[in-house]
Amino acid sequence: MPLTPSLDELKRRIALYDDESAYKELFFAFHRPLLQFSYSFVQSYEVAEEVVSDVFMAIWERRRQLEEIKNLRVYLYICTKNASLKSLLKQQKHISITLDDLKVELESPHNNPEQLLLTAEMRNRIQQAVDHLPPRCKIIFKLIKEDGLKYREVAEILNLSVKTVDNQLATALRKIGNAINIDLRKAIRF
Amino acid sequence: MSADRIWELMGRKLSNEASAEELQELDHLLRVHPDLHFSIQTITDLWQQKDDDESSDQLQTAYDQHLRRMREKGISINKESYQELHEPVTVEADWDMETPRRPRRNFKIRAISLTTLLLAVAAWFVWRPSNTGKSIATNGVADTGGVLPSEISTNYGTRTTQVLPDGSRVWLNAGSKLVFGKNFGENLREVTLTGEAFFDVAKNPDIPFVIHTNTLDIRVLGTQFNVKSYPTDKTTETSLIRGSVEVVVKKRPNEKYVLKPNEKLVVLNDQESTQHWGNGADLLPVKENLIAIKNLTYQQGDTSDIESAWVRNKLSVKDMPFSEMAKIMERWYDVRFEFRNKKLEEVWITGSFDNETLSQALEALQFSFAFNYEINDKTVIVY
Repeated sequence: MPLTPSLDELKRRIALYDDESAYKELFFAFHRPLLQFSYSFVQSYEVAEEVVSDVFMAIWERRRQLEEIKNLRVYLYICTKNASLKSLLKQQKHISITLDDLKVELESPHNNPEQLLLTAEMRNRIQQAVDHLPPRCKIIFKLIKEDGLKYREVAEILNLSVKTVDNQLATALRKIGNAINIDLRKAIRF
Repeated sequence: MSADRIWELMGRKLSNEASAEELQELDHLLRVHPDLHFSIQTITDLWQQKDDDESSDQLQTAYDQHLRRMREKGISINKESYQELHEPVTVEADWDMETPRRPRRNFKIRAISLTTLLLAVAAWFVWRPSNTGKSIATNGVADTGGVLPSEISTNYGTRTTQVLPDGSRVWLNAGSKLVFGKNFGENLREVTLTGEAFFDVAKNPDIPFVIHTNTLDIRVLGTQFNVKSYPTDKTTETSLIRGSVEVVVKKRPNEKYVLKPNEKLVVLNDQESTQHWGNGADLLPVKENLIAIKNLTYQQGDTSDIESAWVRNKLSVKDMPFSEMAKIMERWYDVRFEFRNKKLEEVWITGSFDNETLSQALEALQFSFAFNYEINDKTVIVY
């Protein structure tokens, strides 16, 4: 995820100079997070690829107005959300969808297990706790932890209050923390 | 409950949203809750663990696919769309050519080699009142629906139009020839085209209209479309304005392409030149490059497509290298172009001319990017 100043720089280069290498950089920086975000809605990577590609296409086509966008990062997520919902509507899969209908896939927390000195059982527990987070909770957890978004950015993207984001993240951490603690107590008991 | 407060503060801490006071408060609470230390530590470790980034190969693949989709939708991000279809990729160093004569704020005008950005050099020209009488050269062919000659043709520098006995109308661009089949209109309306023509075919489902070119056959019922099939061009293009046409590419007789309005079929004429494309692993398979269906091209702020602009007496191009543009100008003005500076061949041009003379057109191009030219009789030397 690029830092904000470099994101502004990319935005400027695309808007003013039709700079394809800046456009490519933007694509590289956001492709994966947006793909996964879209997947949460459309639940198909094939469709999500199209959605994200459409979003980037629109960015290029409207590049002259790009500088009017204050927070390009939030804008990209909101476009992706809207395009995902539109795609669902087109497939007539859902008339309406709420955050609780999302199917969020998180990166595996154990990509590098050797980094964390955890027993297999502990890892399992954490994984389960994360998997069982309610969708709303999970998407917020993901956007903040994996995509590095700020509370107010997540709030804007998901159309929630900052307070809700704050609460939901605390809930996610508490649930994961409890899973770890239970395991710990078990470990001590034996 | 203080445990809940701990998780709230932890969330803010991990996401860098916590204030100094909140961090202090968290420290304090943790001292009261030693039982949470292990889980807090584990979660912090988990949080900070970075996932493997998507490999740049995967991203490149995704990006290439994205560019392909853009091209299919007729959005050009750079000359690649054109060039990939036409020639093997060669990479050359950039060279900037700032133009002193047409400063435009925020826009750098550059000449571009193949892989860098394309800046469409917008050449806007004064719209003159058109003197239609002059503009379409009739070249000795009367615009009547009367007796059909066996063929109509145009030299370089002239264009013509003809109404056929069936009510269809044909516009013939410069340096083109249209030969009518025997018994045109009896069971079949059959013509053979070399060069470029725009057809407005009168509807008659019983007597199909068939156009033969070197590389393909087009079958229509009633429609408007443009066919560009110059032997010297790298591609044959069939552009559909309205109606529907069916195209059979001669080299692949078993496949039929049905075009929808606003689409064009581009076929590479010279099969040999496709061989080069096999080198880049991320390029489309050769077969897909040979034949492509694209959207018609539109100039910004213009509702008419570029493909048939010549019928309206406009010489119009979008994202075309100067070398290709020169071929069109050669036919349009009946001249030959000679590039003394090879770099100029790769300057990408977008723009249109209305009734400009050759030197007016060249001068207009000079506004867009720097080059010199000389006209010796019928040769234009560009350097």
